[in-house]
Parts: sequence; structure tokens; C-alpha cells
Amino acid sequence: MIRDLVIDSITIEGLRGFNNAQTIKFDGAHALISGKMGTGKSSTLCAIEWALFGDIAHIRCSESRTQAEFINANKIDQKARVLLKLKGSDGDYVIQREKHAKKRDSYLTFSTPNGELEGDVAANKIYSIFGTFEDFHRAIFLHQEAVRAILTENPEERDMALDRLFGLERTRELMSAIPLRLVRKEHEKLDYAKTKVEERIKGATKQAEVEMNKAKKEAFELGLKREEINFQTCRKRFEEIIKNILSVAEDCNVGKPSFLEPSSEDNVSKGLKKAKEVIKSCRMQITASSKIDELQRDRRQINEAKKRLENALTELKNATEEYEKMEKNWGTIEQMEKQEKALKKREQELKNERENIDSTSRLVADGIEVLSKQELKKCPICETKISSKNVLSRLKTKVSVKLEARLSKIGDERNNIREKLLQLADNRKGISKAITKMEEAKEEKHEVEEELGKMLKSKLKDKKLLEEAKEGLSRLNKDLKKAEKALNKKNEVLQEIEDSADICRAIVRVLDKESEYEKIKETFAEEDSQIEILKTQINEMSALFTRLQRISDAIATAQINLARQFIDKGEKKISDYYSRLCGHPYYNSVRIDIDQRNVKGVQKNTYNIKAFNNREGKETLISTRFSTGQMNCAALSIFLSLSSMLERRQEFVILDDPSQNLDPEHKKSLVKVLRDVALENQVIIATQDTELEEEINASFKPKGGFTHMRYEGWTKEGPIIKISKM
Amino acid sequence: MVGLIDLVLKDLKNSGADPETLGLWKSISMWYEEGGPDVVEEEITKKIKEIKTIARKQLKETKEIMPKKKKKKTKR
Repeated sequence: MIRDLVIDSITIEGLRGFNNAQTIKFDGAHALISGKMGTGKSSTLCAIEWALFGDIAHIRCSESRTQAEFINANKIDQKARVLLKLKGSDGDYVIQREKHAKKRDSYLTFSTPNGELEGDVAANKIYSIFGTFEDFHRAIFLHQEAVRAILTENPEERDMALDRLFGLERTRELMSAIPLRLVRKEHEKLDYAKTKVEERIKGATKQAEVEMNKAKKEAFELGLKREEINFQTCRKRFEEIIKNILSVAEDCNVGKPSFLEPSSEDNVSKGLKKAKEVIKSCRMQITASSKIDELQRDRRQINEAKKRLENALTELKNATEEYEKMEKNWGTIEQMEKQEKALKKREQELKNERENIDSTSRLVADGIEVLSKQELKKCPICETKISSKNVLSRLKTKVSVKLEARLSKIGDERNNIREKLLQLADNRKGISKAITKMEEAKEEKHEVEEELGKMLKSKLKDKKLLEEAKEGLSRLNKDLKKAEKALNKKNEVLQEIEDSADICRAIVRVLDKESEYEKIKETFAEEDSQIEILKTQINEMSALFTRLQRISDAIATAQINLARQFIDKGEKKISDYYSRLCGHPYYNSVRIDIDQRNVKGVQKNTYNIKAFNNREGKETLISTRFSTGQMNCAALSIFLSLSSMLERRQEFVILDDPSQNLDPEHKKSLVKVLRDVALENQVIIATQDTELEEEINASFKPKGGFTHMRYEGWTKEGPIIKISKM
Repeated sequence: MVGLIDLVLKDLKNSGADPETLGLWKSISMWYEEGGPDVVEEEITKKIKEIKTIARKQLKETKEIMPKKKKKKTKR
């Protein structure tokens, strides 16, 4: 594995502020890149990461995108080109990347002492030397935006990254490739299927046994004995049934049925079915020929007609009695009409009289009025001498009073006549109703007499006809009893055959169920061996799971041990850097804690970065407890330690603006630490912090000195860089 | 990877793993060397399928010779 590369030079053209090609020489030595903000320091460092990965961390312009904002706008050919030259013990490594603004992909070539590579092959080679783009940022290039990322990023991503940095990504891959969950799931599935089959076999046997016992119980209930339940008895009985059936079928005229030879249970069973059908046909035939239905129908009809006649006679009797009673009380209709006529005549007479009295009354009233107004001495009509007072008194007392009395009498008499007339009308209505009822009863009686007469073939009427109907019914009942007796006799014969068939059927059923049970038992014995094979496969799956589980556990152990080895190796260095850089008043050391957790059935390493107080045995998670400056110090100590001990480390470290949030004292400590780092690595520091710049110039002093590159401004061609050897 | 293979093998031996487990680990490490994690997964899945195929065949045969479930008569 290549681990000793240092940066020799970088040539940048058309990238960000760089227009024409400009070569910055490092010669494998340490370098301080200083300058004000926006003078091209970061662009120089960006060029290194872009050359290696085709990506720039704070732009994240991946090759799959077409944006080319990092290509210099004044570049005529619209191309960015970077040539990164690295030096190793075995020779030079030259990486060249080129991209056109309008093209999506960049073109990569990688020249190594062993040959020229290009495209994906070159990219894979770079990955094998520097790790992923993210790993490069965790251990080689500490970007100004990413100082604290290692402490604050998603724990899962951090776990993966640290595994990669420790060279454990293969272990991780291998763990994930062992499908433990799948094996367990398949094992469970097979086991479930086996249980189901076993249950089904048990269930079927039990069911057959239950059915067999039920058939036996039914047979015993029919009076059979155990020794009778055999095919010989069954056959004998069946032959008897056939004999009887043939005889009955002939009697009933249902044709001669044919039966199979009762040589087997199956034939007997079929024969019994056929016998059942024949018995059914016979039953229908004898019922049809017995005329019972016909007799029953006649009896029902005569009975109904008889009842109706009885009702009609009662109805007629009642209606006649009612009419006669009315006639006795009120007279005939003619008498009533006569009476009504007389009353109406009298009423007319009274009406006329009243009208006469009314005119006389008006005349008397006029006379009274005249006499009460003037005192007449002569009668105005006959000129006879009169005394007004006398005439007035006589008119008032004798004429007027008498007239009023008469009027009252007429009124009373007229009221009386009206009441009588109303009564007469009611009576007439009642008598008419009674007559109608009587007529209707007569009509019904006549109708029923006709009907019943037809049924009985009789011309008798009234009660005589009823007597005739009674006699007819009695005759029908006798016939019916006779027919029923004959039918019952035939049915009894059929029933006997049917009972015998039932017994035969019960024997067949028991024999059938017994054989079914035996068959299942036989099959069960066979299935046991089948289940055994299934069990072997399940055990095989279980064994595979156990083996894979053991292997997985062993890999997990190896994984944690390897990670622990790395961490133990670097622990002293991390704590040393931390105590020198941070000088925390309470937590005096920092450590990467390792544990394992189960992620979807796979054991994976998980890392926590914690600070400790060794004297009091207290610990805390750095990301949740420390200030930004303290967190920067912790992150720097971890970064610098990791960069010196990791799988894919190289002999150079790039720090972009590492003094963020540090006070002058901590900056001094940082320079001292960097001096130690420079003993093993080429250190390239970019900063805009003049305090740090001064401190580096004053006390960095690595072996062989360092190059100070001052970025002082821009021309159209690119940044103005003044280089001095320190 | 060689280091990891030996480490795992050592751990398995120390924990008294049977020869089949050791053999399986050797196969896994060989598959990984040959084609990476995909081949490992593929080969183990193949093994699972082999067991499953035999088991399913047996299961099918067993079901075939088993008494059929009687259908319940539906009353009309």
C-alpha cells in the first residue's frame, strides 16, 4: 500500500480565479499559504481535491452535474485543468484532470511509476490510495468548514467513516453480506410448514377415528351386534332386499329394476342407493293408485257444502223471524204507506190553518195598533157606534189570546206528525233491510242446494238434503278408511324393506369408515418417513443459521478488536494533542469509545467521541458539552492523530483555516502541535489569520524550514503569489 | 483481508467451532476474495435455496399423499 506520498507541485489553469496555467511548487516541503480573504488560498487547496476526486467539498459540484461555475469565466477555451504531482519513494505520481464547462464529465489520467491509467481505473486507483472523498476530508484535508463535522455528524455516517478509516469497510461489507435474517426467516417458514403438516395428519386420523366410531354407534343403535358387522351379513341382507324389492316393484307396476352383483362393498352401496329410488317410486305409485286423495277431496267438498247449507238455513230462519217480528210491531209496508199518507195530509191541513190564523192575527194586531193610537167612536167600516176601550180590550183578551193558543196547538201537532213520519221512515228502512237479508239467505240456500245436490246426485231440498249429505259423508269415510288400510299395508312392506336397507347401509358405512381409518393409519406411517426428511432439511437450515451466526460473531469480534487496536494505538496521541491544544479545566483527556450494536441483524461497530476527567472518572460527549473553540481543539487533536495512524494515510496533511474560534494562546499551542506533526508529515496550512501567520513564522520552524506563499491579490491571469523560504 | 480471515478462523477454533463451520468460513472468505460481498450473499442464498428446494419437494409429496379435506356440504 502506498503511504508515503507528498505534494510536489500543482499546476492550475481555468479553475476559479486561475486563468492561465500557473504552477505552485511545494517540492514536498511544508508550506504556509497566507493572505487576505478571497485572494485564492482556498482555490489552490480546492484544486488539489478536485484533481483527486472531481469534486469540491464546499461546492459539492459532482461530476454528474453540468454546472461549471468553478471554471474561470475569462478562460477562452472554457476548460479547467489541474495537474497534481505527488512524490513517493518509488517515483512520481501525476494526476491530471480536465473539464470543459459545457461537458458533464471530467477527464482523468493518473500516471504512476507502474504505468498510465485513465477514467474509472484511474479513479479507483486514487480511491485505493486516498480512500473516499469523505475519508480524504476526515484524515488528510481538514477543510475550514469541516473542522467539527467529525464530532457532530450523523452517528451512523461517522461509524461507517471511522470503519473505513480503520480499514474495516471489508469487515463491514462481509457482515452485511451474510444474510442471517433470511436464513432465520426461511428456517421459521419451514418449521411452520412442518408443524402444519403434522397437525393435518393428526387431524385427519382423529377425524377418521371419530367418523368410524360414529358409524359403529349408529349401527349398534339399529340393533346390530359386533359380529354382524361384516360383509357376509351385509351381502345376505342385501340379496333379501333385492328379492323383496323386485316383488314390490312388480306389484306397484314400476318396472323391473336391475342391480349389480353384490360382490363388493361398493356394489352393495350402489345397490342400496338404487333400492332407495325404487322404494320412493313404489311409494308414489301406490299413493297415486289408492284414490285416497280423490276420496279425501270429495269428503272435504261435501263437508264444506254441507256446512254452507246449514249456515244458509240458519240465516234464512233468522231473517224470516226478524221480518215477522217487525211486521207484527209496525204493520206491513202498505199499511205504513197508508199511515204516512194520512199524516202528510193532516200536516198540510194544519199548515193551511196556521196561515189563516197568521193573516187574522196581523189584522187584529193592526186593529189594536189603530185603536191604541186614536179613540174611535164609530166603526170605520160599518159606522156603528163603538167604544174604543171595550173593542181594544176584547181584541186583546179574546181574539188575540185565542189565536195564539190555537197556533201553539197547531205547532205541537205538527211536531208530533213530523216525529211520527221520521219513525215511519226508519221502520220502513228496517223492514226493507230484513226483506233483503231474507232474499239473500234464500239465494245462498238455493245455490248450495244446487251444488250439494250435484255432488250427491240428489234432488232433495232443505233439511232432507242435509240428511242426505250426512249419509254421503259417512259412506266416504268408510271408503277412505278402507283405502288407507290397504295403503298402510303396502307402506309397511316398503318400510320393512327400507329398514333392512338402513341396517345394510349402516354395515357398509362401518366397513367403509373402518377401511378409511386403516388407510389413513397406513398413510400416516408412510408420512412419518416423509416428515423425517423434512425435519432433516429444517435441521440443515438451523445448522446453517448457527454456523453463520458463529461466523458473524467471530467477524464482529475481529472487527471490534481491530478497531480497538487502532484506537489504542492512537489514544495516547489523541490525548496528548488534546491536552496541549485544548487545556480544558476539567476534562483532561479525549477518547474514541467503541461499542457494537445490532443493525438489522448485523453487528456493527459504533463510535462515540468522549472527553474524560481521569481523576474523578467522569465522562461526557464532546458534541453536547464543549464550546465551539473547545470542540475545534478536540476535533483538531482527533484529526491530526488519525491522519498519522490510519490505513490510507499519506505523508501530507492540509489544514484550511485551522485557527477558527481559537484565542491567541490556543493558536500558540496549535503551532507547537503542528511542529510535531511536521516531523512525520508534509504540512500545508492555509490561513487568513494574521495572528496564526505571525505565530507560524515565529515558532513553527520545522526541520528543513517551510515555504511561505503570500497571496496578495489578483491579475487577469490569476493570483499574485509571493514565495519566500523560511 | 488475510489478517481478518486468520483472526476469524482463530476465534472460531478457540470457541470450539465444528469443522463444518470452519469450512463454511473458508468458503465465505474465498467467495469474498473472488467477487466481493455480492458473491458471498449469492452463494449463501444458493445454499438456502438448495435446502428449501428439497424441503418443499418433500412437503409437496407429503401433501399429495395426505387425505384430502372434506368439503362441507352447504345447505340450500
